[in-house]
Amino acid sequence: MKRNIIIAGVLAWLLAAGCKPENFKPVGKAGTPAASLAGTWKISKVTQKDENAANFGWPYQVTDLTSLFPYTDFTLTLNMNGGAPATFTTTPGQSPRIITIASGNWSVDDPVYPKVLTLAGASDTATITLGSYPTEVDPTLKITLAKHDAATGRLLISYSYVFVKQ
Amino acid sequence: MKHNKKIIGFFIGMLALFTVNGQVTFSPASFTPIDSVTLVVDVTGTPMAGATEAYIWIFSNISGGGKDGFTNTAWNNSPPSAKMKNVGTNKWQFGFVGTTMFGQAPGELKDFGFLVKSQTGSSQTPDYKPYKFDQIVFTPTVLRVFPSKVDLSDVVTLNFDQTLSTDINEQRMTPTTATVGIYKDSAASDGPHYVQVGSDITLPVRKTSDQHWSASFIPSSSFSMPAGVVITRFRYKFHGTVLDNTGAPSNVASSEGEQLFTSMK
Repeated sequence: MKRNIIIAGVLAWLLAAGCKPENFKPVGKAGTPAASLAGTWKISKVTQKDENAANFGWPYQVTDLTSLFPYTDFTLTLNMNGGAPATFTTTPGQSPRIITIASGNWSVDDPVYPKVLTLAGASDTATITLGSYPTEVDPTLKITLAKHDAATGRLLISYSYVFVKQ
Repeated sequence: MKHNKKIIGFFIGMLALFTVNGQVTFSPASFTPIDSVTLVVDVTGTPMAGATEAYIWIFSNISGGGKDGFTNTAWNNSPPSAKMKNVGTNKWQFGFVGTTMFGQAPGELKDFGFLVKSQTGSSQTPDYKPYKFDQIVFTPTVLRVFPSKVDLSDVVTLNFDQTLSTDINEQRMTPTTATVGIYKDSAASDGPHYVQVGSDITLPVRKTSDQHWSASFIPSSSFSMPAGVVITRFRYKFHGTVLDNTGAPSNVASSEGEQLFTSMK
């Protein structure tokens, strides 16, 4: 009887010791997505996906390009004016020009839930899909550029870029 | 004597087949069953020479499991959807997508053939066949381009897998560089030719794993593209050394790979 009491006590102690509060990061303030895009962003990672291969279920679908070319030189600056998207500039340095427009005005499709970032230059416009916008938990900006077959419209290649704020 | 006639007849038949095949061009030059392709056929020397209208009669999988194209409604009354476009003397053009034309899944389509006819079927060309679709099933190869479709502004990675080679030099070489040249199409009476634009570029090679090598480039950055010239393809080789029987290094090269550029937006 005494032995059972001891075993029960040890089990109770183990159960109590096993329950500790997890050290989660605070969620942070409610985000304002469009505003969180403002700032100067620099590429930290680039991947290339063969969407044609993925469509057919082939191997060799994704490759990391970050170290193959000086992509980390590339910076994108998004300026706000009175809380609204305003001008942008791109500075490629030695990087391949992932966005060929040097400067202009930027906008988002939805200021609350932005999915598409539009960069409008003097004579050209780039439409960029937002993979995710920055939050306090994950402060990176992720964008995707897709390329489609000019004849069929079929998705063939996508490039994913991860930017960190400077 | 009778046997000899059969042999001669066979070779004449083969010659006719290759002659007929040489009169058809495709744009793009390679295509899968889900790609849009445009063919141009020269019917000079056939019963359709001099015709003012032409209709296509098209069928899939020559060796079995094939279907008629949806445009093959009735032999003696081809529909407007089968009408070909005249693009020169005796030259007729037609565009289609394999899966749509034959109502078959991409994996079912291996090749196709066609003939050119009058609307009523009173005159026709011989069959033009077979023309293969690019397969959508992956086949490992010694030389491979990543991604599988590229345009001039993409990052292109050339891959060399020595484990798949049956050539001794390819198996044993230590690659050091890769060379790449870009080409444009040039029409000629005996079919299309490919003319190099500018000179080859030389790329450094990196080892990705044992007996696997890669080299990367961006065509629009690596080459000077003359204005008004349409670059359609590139060809590439890996270069390196093997040790000869005295232990001295000897220069060798891999076989040559070729990749078409795909126009993208």
